[in-house]
Amino acid sequence: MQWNHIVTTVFLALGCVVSLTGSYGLLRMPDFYTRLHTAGKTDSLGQVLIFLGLVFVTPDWLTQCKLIMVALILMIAAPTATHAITKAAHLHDLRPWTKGDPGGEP
Amino acid sequence: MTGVLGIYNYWIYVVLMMIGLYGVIAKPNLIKQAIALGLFQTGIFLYYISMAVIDGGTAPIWTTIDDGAQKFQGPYDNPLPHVLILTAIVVSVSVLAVALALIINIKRRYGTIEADQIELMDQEDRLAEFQAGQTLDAADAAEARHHA
Amino acid sequence: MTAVILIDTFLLILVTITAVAIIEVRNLYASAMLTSVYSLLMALVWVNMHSMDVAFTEAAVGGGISTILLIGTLVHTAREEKPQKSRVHWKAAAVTALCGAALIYGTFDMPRFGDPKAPIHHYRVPEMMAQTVGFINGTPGKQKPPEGFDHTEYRSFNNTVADVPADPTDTAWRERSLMAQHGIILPKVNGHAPAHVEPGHTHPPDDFNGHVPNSVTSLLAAYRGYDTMFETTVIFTAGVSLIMLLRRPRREGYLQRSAPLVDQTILRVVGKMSIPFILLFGLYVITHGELGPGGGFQGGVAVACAFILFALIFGRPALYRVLPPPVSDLLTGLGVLVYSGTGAACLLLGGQFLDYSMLDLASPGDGEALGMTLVEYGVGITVSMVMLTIFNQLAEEQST
Repeated sequence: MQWNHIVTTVFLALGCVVSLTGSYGLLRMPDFYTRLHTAGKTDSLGQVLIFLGLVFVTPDWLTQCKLIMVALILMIAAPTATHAITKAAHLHDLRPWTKGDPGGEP
Repeated sequence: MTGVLGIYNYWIYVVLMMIGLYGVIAKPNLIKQAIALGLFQTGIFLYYISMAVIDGGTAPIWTTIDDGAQKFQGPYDNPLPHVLILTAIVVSVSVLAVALALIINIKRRYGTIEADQIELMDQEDRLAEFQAGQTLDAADAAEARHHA
Repeated sequence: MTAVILIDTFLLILVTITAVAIIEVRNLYASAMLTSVYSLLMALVWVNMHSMDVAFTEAAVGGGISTILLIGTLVHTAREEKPQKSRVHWKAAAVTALCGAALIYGTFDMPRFGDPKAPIHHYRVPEMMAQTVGFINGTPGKQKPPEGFDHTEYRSFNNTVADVPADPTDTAWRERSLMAQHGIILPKVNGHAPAHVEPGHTHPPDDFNGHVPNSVTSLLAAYRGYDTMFETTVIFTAGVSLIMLLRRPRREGYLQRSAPLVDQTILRVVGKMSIPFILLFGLYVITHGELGPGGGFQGGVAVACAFILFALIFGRPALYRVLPPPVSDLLTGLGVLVYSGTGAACLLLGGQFLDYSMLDLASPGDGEALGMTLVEYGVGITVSMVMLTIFNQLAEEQST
């Protein structure tokens, strides 16, 4: 195995594990804010890891530049989207879950 | 690769179409019907694109290198269904847009978007007009005069 | 059991589950969100089947614009569906089950998935894929092959694939194309050919002088140009219908109360940073439709998304200052005019309607490629302005 294939495999595996963890957290977390915490952060990181992993196996430099640009855009846009959703919920007076509340339904 | 594996794609398209058709028939909510119509259409797209795939093929974009020779020495997928489906996708979103505009107008006129309640209101209107002894045209003319 | 089939199976199971969920969920906002998820999954299915243009269009149009339209409508209408008396509508289920059974019975005659000898890949399609429809058949006005050009050597489908024997008893299709009559059966390419030499860039000789590698775009804009022109007209008609159905003249002009998000710092800054790049990317996609996946529809939707983002963050009065409704209405018609105008120009230059080779008589292939670029721009302008118009009309507050 060449070194770039190994690096790509590691990045892709990490990205998949991170995304899966986020999805599992989406199911298990008790309320809106905690769910968004897991899903938003892990989605942003997972996408960026997968794109950066693909850079190493791309043969030509133009596609590599495009992949890096897409990863940069995702690094900016995905956390902004998470922020927008959370801010919208906050402005509509959605209270966070505190310990002892009945919660946790999907 | 014969038997089920060869044609299950076509079965899935039938399933998607039937789910969409069920949504249009069974759900009285007009927006649900519009969404289900879109679902029906994507089933058709799946059918066409499945027909275009060739074993070992790739996207129908020529990959030449500089002396005109081909980089990829294999079959290219059939581009004709892709063209048809491209136009069909954009037409489907146009249909969705006009349907949603009509639904907004229906909501303004009737106050509801459930098809059975709308039909009930229409029947009550017609019954009231019949009982008042007026024809439909006269009723419309009376409404127009009333609004103007 | 290739990778295509495996991924295909997995994705289609997810697609079916999402489709059932869309129909059964009562909350309409959830239904709209699930439609967006459904469009994303379908785009992945298309990518898996190597249809990049279709995947691009489905992701942009289905996942982007459709969701915006649905949510814009749901603001004006209900939030939840009324509960039904019975969970399953048995008569509808019976009808759809019967219809589905009949259709499945019909699919038993289909060629298997991926069959290279399926009838759909024959007749005219190999010539369209090789972009040699006019080139080899010698349609008047089209590019003539250079001297000594042997069409069976280059960009022709003259091989039988080694492991698929030709079947002498096969009488499934009666009509054969020119290619097939010369013993050319399968769309497998080979070719080293006398290339068309241009300084800095060598192209193979074909209908477009090698300027259009994306054969989907060449089919869309050149070989089936009438189709695309009337489809642009369909989109234009949808925009006009929305205006007629929903636009109310206001006493105080177009400015109205709205709730912009200008005080949200993060959204405002990130929006300001992204909008120029989204616009540039949209124009890039429209222009590079000939060279890779893309084209007028996808790029037009991207341009519309930039404007919609501007409207969401800075408010629709700000959008109306930047792009007043009379201007956007004019531009919707302008795109259709550009498309049919290109066709009419070819007519006036002595050829047939939409025969772009008349645009550059010295080298008809270059004329074809130029005509395709012009019509892609026409399509892009119309699609972007119509999507923006639809968004504006659906986002207006009620005045009655």
